[in-house]
Amino acid sequence: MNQPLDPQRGAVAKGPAALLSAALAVTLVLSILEWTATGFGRTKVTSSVAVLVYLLAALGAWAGAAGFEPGDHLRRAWGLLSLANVALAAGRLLFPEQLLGLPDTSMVAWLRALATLLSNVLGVWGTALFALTWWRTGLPLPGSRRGKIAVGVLLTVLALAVPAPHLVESIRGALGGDPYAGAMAVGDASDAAVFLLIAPVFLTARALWGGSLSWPFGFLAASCACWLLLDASEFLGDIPGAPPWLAPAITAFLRTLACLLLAIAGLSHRMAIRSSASPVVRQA
Amino acid sequence: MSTALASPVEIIATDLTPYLGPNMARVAARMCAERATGRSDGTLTPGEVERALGMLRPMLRTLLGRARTDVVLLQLTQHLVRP
Repeated sequence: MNQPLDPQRGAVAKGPAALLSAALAVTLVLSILEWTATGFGRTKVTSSVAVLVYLLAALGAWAGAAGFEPGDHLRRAWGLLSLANVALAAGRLLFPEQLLGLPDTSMVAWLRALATLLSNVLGVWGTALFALTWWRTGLPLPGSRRGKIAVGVLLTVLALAVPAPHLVESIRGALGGDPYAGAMAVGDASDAAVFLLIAPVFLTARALWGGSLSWPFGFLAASCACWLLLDASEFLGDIPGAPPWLAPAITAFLRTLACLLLAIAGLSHRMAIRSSASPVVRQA
Repeated sequence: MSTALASPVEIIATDLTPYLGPNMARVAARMCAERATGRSDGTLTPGEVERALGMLRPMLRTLLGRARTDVVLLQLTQHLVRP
């Protein structure tokens, strides 16, 4: 029989599921920490959790990059996403009078704007490399043309509609001379760009469904979708009658989940590559 | 019990399934065979195997990286030579 028996195959299938369970559990614990913090400590807890999850995302993406050789397409993509999250953590540390107790000076504002700008540029660049991956393989995307167009149109409409109000607000602030508002405008435009890239990443994951390489793309698409939902959740505060704690609570949960999904995307890619190094045992 | 030997395209698809999933592994195997031979019957002669595996290299290198691609293609070559 020509039936391959890969001893690693079962482990590879179980690994991403275990990673997802761990990510969900950690997200819940960290969210409860944020939800239950009160008074001045609340800001410290929120900032600490944000820095922690950005660094975890950076570590996971770095693990993904380390699975490849220099010059490999996806090493560059994972490396960029890792650096984007380091910049996000740095930007969070530069919030005045929070974790580092920095004064609210124009120097701090410019540094924070630079970190925000860097994180957005690197994040879009890295996600774009993932979106281009399928095109580089030269394989056809499965599924009907109508289905692919429907997914593309739906995600494009969401990608453009959700960040648009923020973008207009940030541009107004930037025109008023606020450097951080200028960086936020770039950030909102970057959000729209990343959301536009969800469709090709999601379709790549779907094309590889059943294989170990489906997981990193699936987790990455889910991470981007969490950022999209996070942007959308900020509108909850405008709904009449909505409790004031609802929008921050959902924001905290989605931010942590988005970062941890990125972390496990990198780890699952590393696992998928490692599994290919093991010999395939065949029965005679 | 006698069993029919799998064709080279089936062996390629089977070996790629853990990474690409069953559907895409089949598509990739058929496509590399077609590109290597110019035929669409999904067959490969022993002389065409090396060329067909070469067609897989860019796709695998993108998804798995250069080093792991070499390992996967080496395993595939071994399986195709002695299925």
